[in-house]
Amino acid sequence: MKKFTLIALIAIVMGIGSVAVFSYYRNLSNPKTTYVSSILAEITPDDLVKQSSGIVLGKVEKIQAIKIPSKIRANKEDIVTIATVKVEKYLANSKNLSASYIDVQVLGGTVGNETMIAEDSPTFEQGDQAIIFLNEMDASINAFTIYAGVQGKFTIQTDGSVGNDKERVYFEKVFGKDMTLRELEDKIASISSSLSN
Amino acid sequence: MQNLLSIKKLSIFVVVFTLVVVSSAFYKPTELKAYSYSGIHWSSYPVSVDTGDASVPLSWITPLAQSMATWNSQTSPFYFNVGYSGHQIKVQNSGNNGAPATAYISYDGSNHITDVDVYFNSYYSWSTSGEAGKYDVKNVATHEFGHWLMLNDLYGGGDTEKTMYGYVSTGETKKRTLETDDINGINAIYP
Repeated sequence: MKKFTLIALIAIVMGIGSVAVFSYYRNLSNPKTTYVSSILAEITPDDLVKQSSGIVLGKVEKIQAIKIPSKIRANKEDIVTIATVKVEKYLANSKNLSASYIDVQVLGGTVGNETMIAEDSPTFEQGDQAIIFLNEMDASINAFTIYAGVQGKFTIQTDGSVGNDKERVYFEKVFGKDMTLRELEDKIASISSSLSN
Repeated sequence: MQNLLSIKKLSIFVVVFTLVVVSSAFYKPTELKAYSYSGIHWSSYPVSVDTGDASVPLSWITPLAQSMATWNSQTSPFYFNVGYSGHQIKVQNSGNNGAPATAYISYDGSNHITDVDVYFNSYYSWSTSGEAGKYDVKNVATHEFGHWLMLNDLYGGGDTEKTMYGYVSTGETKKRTLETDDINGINAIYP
């Protein structure tokens, strides 16, 4: 009985090991991964506010990755992640946007066995509250792009500060310091006011 | 009794072997602070760069070649050459997206690079002479060729003078010249 138990144990372990090795080598031959990296234009807070078609504060309710024709490379597809955002307020709204829900697209995501990793693209997590500087509307998928990529979206932390660990690096580059959401809202309002004068 | 001992030894060996195989599938190289490397690399070199796409202005050919030569002149055996490999430089209008240039790098499950294309965004104004108000071709190209080596962008306060610093301004030319950490990067990845 003991001998049988040992043999059974060995068989189970070898079985698990074989599956692991098989999966490892299967992934070697099948995965399609593209890494995308952009050099970023240095921008000022005025640039960010002026160039955005709208600035929203909202909550991410859903995210989904899809393939679309690339906006950067002709005749090729990119993988983008679409975030459906429930708008809490428009902080700047030069285009008179009024939707209570908007879709926002960012480069990167996984569809099937294809993955696109965009180093300089913002990311969304379901449930996050975020401030987003909108760029143009992509009518083909009815989703906004984000102005200045990773410099145009910042998660609002539970303590009211702007930006997670990664985002704060970009935020500090643009705005010169860390801010709370309230301070950022005041800054945006101040810039918007000076631009309209 | 002897058979029992042999089975025990065999079972221990199998368990250890399985653990080694499974853990090696999750191994990732660590990043170093002076430069940032993704762990992905070319399986062979030289790497041919096709600068002959119709979208690339003729005046750009020389600064693009000079950018390659900047990386080629390091002690690493890795080098670029100009050819018709399918790894292309292109110029295309991607709109006002805050990104003067973007590199697309595809790689396989062995972390070997299979294809690279770089797109310069013609929405922005470009110069080959460091002209004020325009992005310099050689400046940006030298940075982008660093991505061909899979060096990542750097964003720290101490990285502003490095070629792989992730921000660029108009009229800037400092990325044309590699700093010590940029050089350490290529020499470490391709020793």
